[in-house]
Amino acid sequence: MNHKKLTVFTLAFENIKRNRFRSVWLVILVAVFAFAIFCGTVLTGSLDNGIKTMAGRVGADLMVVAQGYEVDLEDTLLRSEPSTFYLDGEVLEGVRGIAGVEEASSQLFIASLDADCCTVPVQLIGYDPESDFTIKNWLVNVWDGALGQDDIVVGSLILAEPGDQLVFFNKVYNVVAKLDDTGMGFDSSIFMNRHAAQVMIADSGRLSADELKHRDDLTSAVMVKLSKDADAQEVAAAIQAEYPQTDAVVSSDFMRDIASRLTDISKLTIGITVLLWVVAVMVLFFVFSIVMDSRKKELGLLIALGATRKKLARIMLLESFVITLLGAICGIFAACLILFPFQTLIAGMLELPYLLPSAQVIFAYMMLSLGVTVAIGPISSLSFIRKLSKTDVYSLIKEND
Amino acid sequence: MDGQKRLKYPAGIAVVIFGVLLLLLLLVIVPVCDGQVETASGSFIPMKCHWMSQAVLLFACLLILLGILLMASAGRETRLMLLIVTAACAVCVLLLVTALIGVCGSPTMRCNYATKPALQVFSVVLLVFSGASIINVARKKK
Repeated sequence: MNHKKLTVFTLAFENIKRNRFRSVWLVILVAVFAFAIFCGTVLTGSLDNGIKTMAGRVGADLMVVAQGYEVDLEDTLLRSEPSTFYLDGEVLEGVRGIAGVEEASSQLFIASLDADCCTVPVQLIGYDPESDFTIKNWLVNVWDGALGQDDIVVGSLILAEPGDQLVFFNKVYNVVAKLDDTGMGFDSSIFMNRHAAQVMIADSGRLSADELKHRDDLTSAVMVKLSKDADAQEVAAAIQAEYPQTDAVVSSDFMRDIASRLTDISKLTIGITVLLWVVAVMVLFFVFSIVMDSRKKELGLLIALGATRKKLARIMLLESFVITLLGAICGIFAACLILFPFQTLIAGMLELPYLLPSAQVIFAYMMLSLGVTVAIGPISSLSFIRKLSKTDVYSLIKEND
Repeated sequence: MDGQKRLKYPAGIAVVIFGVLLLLLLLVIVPVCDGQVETASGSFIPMKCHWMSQAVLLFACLLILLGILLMASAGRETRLMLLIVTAACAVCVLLLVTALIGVCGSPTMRCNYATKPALQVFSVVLLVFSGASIINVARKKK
């Protein structure tokens, strides 16, 4: 006959094994809450990371677009929805002459047709390397050469690597660099020399307005950097007074608007996470208490047979620790199976800047969720253990009868 | 006999459910891209995710068959072998999606951001299930 030494560990593990039904349900319960807590934390962190990255990448104090195209600009920057909209090229020079404007640079947006890299149209952004002060600041992280007429820089979601060639409107372009993830529209965008973009429009014959088609000063947006003492609202009003056919979008307002929507979503996510957390603690507390309570007779008999209350307390703590640890690991593993492989799908469904935090931050979230979830079991058991130490053996054995 | 019945049905039913789920994933929930690519000769052929999908559909049918066989078989060795084949199916699906055929290259395409991760997760879950079932059956006394 196989005899096992009755240690705290063997007793705790045997208890878990023998009461399989109870143990499995407790593990599932803990797993559900660990899943919710970890998912909520990572989602909130990714949205926060996305908005921070976006704020750093817009780079201009004001953005001037044709009247009524503010939504298209947001679509281009945020959701990678390709847009083609134009304003009169003379606006650029005019804006440069307005008081309070330190620098101004134009950008040209083109929605491509199908290309080798993509089955959906992509956003082509033409910028002027000479006057640009927005794109080159973060482009320099991946590439610091001069952008030639046939050179393009691709976003992280474009299927091309540096050295590859892509064809747009029957013209071959060389990919010179690939950007890191940004969590925003830039990931599906392609950057090129503004003049090359201008030529592309002329070649494509996509514009119906012939008088625009052959102009070489076409502009989709004018990015404006203000001097230090300038007031963004005043300069925006001055631009709109001068050019009534335009909308001057103040970046901070634009960003604030997006940020406030994101904050609402973040608050909701945090709220749900906190609610789940509270529910988790309460449910687990009651479940563990009920489970422990139903075992009074068993524990009373063990005390009568010579087991010390201290030893029983350790068995109870170990049991609840093992159950919550197993549950937390299962829950976090399930969350990883959803969050990481489906990150592009999640980002697309949210239609918001969604950028996963670094591996270290995710690991910290994981440890936090694991630690907090694992702590629930033993903490929930403590009140019963305290009760156990104060109740006499006879009452323990008789109470459930 | 009752004990044997209790043991054999859940695993078999679960494998059938896995097979049906795989069918649903590919046909309804996260189907692959429906576009076609133009060849140099000017004809249109389906993209490679289509061929991957066809191959995986065969494995879905195979899983349903394995599940039925698992329900019908009582012998420990037979069940063990069937579960090993189930685990092999999970590995094959994973390899078909990632290495052997794969999906379209662009991360913006549906097969890349939806079908591929769904099948990867499916394979991992099926592999974990088969592994646990194999251990469970292997530990049972003859």
